[in-house]
Amino acid sequence: MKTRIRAGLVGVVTSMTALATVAAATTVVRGPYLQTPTTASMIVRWRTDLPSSSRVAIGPAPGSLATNYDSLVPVTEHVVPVTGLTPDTLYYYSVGSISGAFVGDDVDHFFRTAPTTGASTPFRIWTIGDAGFTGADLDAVRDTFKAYNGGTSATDLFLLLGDNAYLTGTDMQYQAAVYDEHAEMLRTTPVYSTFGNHERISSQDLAQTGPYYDMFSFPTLGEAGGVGSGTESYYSFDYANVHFIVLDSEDFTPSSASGPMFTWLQSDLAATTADWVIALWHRPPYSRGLFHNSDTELNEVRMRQFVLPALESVGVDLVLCGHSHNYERSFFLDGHYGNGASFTNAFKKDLGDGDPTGDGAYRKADLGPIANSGAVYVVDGSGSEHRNATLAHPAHLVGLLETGSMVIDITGNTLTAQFLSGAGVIDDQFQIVKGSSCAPTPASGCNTAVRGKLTVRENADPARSRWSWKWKGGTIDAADVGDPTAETDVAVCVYDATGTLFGGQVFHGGVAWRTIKRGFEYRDKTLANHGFQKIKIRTGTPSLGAYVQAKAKGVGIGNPALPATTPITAQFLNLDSGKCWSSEFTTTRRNQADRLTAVIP
Amino acid sequence: LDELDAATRQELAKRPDDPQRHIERARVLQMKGEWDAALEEVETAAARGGDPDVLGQVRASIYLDAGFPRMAKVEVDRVLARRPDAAGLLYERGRAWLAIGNPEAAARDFGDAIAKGPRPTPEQVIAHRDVLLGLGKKDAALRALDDGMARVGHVVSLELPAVDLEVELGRYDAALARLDRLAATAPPNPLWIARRGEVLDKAGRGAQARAEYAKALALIDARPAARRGKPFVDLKRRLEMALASAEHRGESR
Repeated sequence: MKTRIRAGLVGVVTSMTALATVAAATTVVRGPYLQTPTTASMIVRWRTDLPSSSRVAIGPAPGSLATNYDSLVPVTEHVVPVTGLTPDTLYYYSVGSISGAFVGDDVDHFFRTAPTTGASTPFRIWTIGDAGFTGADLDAVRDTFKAYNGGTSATDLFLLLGDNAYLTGTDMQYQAAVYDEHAEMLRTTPVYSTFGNHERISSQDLAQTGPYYDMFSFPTLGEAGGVGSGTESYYSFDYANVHFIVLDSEDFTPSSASGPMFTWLQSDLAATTADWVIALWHRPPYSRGLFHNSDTELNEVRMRQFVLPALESVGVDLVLCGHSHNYERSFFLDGHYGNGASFTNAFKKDLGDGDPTGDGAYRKADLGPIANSGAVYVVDGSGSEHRNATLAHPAHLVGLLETGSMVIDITGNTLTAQFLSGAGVIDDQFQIVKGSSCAPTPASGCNTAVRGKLTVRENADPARSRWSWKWKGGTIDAADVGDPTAETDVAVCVYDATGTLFGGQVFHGGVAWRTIKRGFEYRDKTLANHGFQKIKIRTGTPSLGAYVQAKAKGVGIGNPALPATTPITAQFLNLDSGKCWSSEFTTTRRNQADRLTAVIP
Repeated sequence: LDELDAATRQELAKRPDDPQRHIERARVLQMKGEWDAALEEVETAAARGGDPDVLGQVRASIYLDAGFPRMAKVEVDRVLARRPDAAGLLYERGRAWLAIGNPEAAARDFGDAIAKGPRPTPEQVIAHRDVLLGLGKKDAALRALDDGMARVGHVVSLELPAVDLEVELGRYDAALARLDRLAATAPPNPLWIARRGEVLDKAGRGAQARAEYAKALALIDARPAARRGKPFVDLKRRLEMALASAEHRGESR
C-alpha cells in the first residue's frame, strides 16, 4: 500500500479518532467527478455532507486499489490531485477519508488518463450546451448518448458549453442539472466547461467568485498543456493530438484586439503545434436563435470580430458554442467577421455539406492546423430544450429545432461530428479529414476499363523523375465525377502489392482546375500537389473517348521503390462520393529499378 | 436579457416570498439597466429576510452601474464593517473610488482585493496597473503586476506588460529576466523570443538581439509553410526588418 499525503497538510490532523467518527457518518452528496486530465494526473473531486479528510485510492482493478492520495484537512469540498500516473491508462478508484472509502472500488468508478500529447490516439467527446433545464428532455439527451455510446456513459471528454444549470447557475441548480443528472458520466469522464450568461448571474468571471468557480478545477497555469492563462474563465489544454481553447464570451469578451484574454490567446495560439485546434465558448458568432441574433448581440459581434480572425489565422478547425436553444451548423468557413447580410459564397471554403454520406468530408491538405483553411461553427444549444426560431443565418448550412447533443470522434487525421437528437437519431453529421496522402490500400468496387497504361521513369536527379497513367475504354458518368472546379475533391493513387507507390489527393477549386468539354482538367506548372502536372477527366462512353489521364513529375512524386511488386493498381477517386476508376496491372512490360511500364491489355 | 427577464419573472411568480428569487430578478434588471426596478427588488428581498451582506453587495453593484459611486461606496463600507474578510468587495469599492475620482484610494483597494481575494484574475491586476499608470507611478504599477503574479501566477497577460514597463524604465536586464521566466512556463514561443530580441536591441546589445531574432525566425521557419498564418507572416516580416536593421547598425559601428 502506497500513500501520498499532500504536502503541508500532515500537521493539521490532531485526532484520528475524531476523524474516524466523522467519516463513519459522512455521505458523498456530490460526485465524484473528474477534472483536468493529463497524461500523468487527474483531479478527483467530491462533496460530503460533513467535513472529513480526503482519500482517493486507485488501482488497476476493483479490489486492487493499492495507492492512496490523501489530504488530512477536514473539508466538505474535496479536491485531490492524483499524480504519477501512466498515459492512456485505465484506473479504478474510490473516494473517502483516511478511515475508509465512501464510494467506489467497483466497476462503476474508473477513469482513463489522457493519451500521450500529440499521439493520434482515437478519442470521443460528448458535448452539450444550455443543458440546464432538468426534466424529460435532458434525460432523453443524456440517455440517447449512453445508448449510442454502447450502453455506457463513460467516454473520453465531456464538454459543457455554458448555461449548464438554469435559471441562475446556483450551486443547488448545478446539483440538479449537472451533478445529479450526469452522475454516471462524471465519475468516469473528465469534464470541462465554459462560462455562460446564466452562470454570470450567480458567479462573477471578473473576480472568479461564485459557485461556478467554487465547483470546478480547470487548468490555469498550463497544467494540461497550452499557455497558462491565470484564470478558470479562459484556459487551454491538450488532449492527444488536439489543442482545446476555452474562452469567456461574457465579461471578458474583447472590445478590441487587446486585453488579458486576447494577449493570452495570441501566445497560446503561437505556441501550439497540435494537429487539431478546437475552440469553445458560450455565445455563438453566427446564430439566429430565438432571442439571440449574432448580428445584434454585442458579445457575439465582438467574438466574431476580434477572436475569430486570431483563431482562423492559425487554422482553427471547429468552434463549439451554445446560447441559442437550437442546433445550427455552418458551412466550412473562413474570414467572415461581418453581419449575416454580408455573408456570401466567397466565405465558404467548401460548398458541400461535409457529410461523408452526403457530398463528402471537408478536407485540409496538411495534418496540422493550416492558416485560414476553413472551420465549422456549431451552435449546440439544445441540450435541454429547443425554441422555435428562423435559424436563417446564411453562414449556417443546417438548422434544427430539436433537443440533442454532439458526439465528436477524433481518429488521427479525421474528425467526425454528429448531432444526436433527443430521439436518438443522427440528424446532422460532418467530417473533416486532414492530409492529402493516398489511402493506405486501393479502393474497391471501382470502374474498370479495357485499356490502361502506366509508365514510370526514375532519375538520379529527382526533379527529372516522372510518371503517367491513362485509363481508357470504359464509361465515365459525369455525375460520378462531380465538379472539381467547385467542390469535388479527388485523388490519383498508384499502389503495388506492398502499398502506395505515389500519387495523392487534389482538392477542389483554385486556378489549376478548369472545365473542359465533357470533363475537367487540372494543370499546375508548380507541381505543388504531389508533383501533379496534369489530371484530365473526359466523361462519356468508350465510343465518345472517355478517359482519365494523370501526369506527375519532380521531387513531389516522392521516391517510389522500384521495381514494383505486381499487381499494380492505379486509381482516380472522387473522394466526396467514393466513386472511382481503376486499372489493375497484373503483369509489366518493364519493371526495373529506374523504370516501369505496364499496359492493359 | 428578454429571455432572462421572462424566466426570472416566472420563477418569482412561483415563489414570491423567496428573497433569492428577488435577488436574481434584481440582477437581471440590473443587466437591463433598469436601476430603480432592480433596487426595488433588492428592497423586497430585504423585506423577505435576505442576507444583508449579499443585499449590500448587490445594491453597491447596482449603484456603481447606475453611476452613483458614492452610494455604492457607502453600501460596500457597511458590508465591510460587518465582514472585513469580504475581499471581493474591496475591488468593488476600488471601482467606486475610481468613479468618484480618487484613484489613489482605488489603487489601494484594488491592491488589497488582489492580495486578499480568493481567486484574483489577470483582469483585476491589469485594472490595478492601469490606475497606477494613470497616476504616473510606473514603479508602483510594476509592483502591482508582481504582486498580482504572486497570486495569479507568472502568466503572459501580466508578464508581458511588466516587460514593457521594465523597458520603459530602462531596466533591460530585469525585462530579460521576466522573459526568461515566462519562457520557462511553456514550449518555445516565437512571440516571446521576438520580444526578447527587441529588448536586447533596445538595450544596445545588437549581437544578442540578432541571435534572438534569428532564433525566432528559425522557430517560425520550422513550421510547415501551410501552418504559418497571418500572425506568423507578420511576425516574420517584423523580425526580418528588425534583423536587417540590427545588422545594418552592427556594420556601421
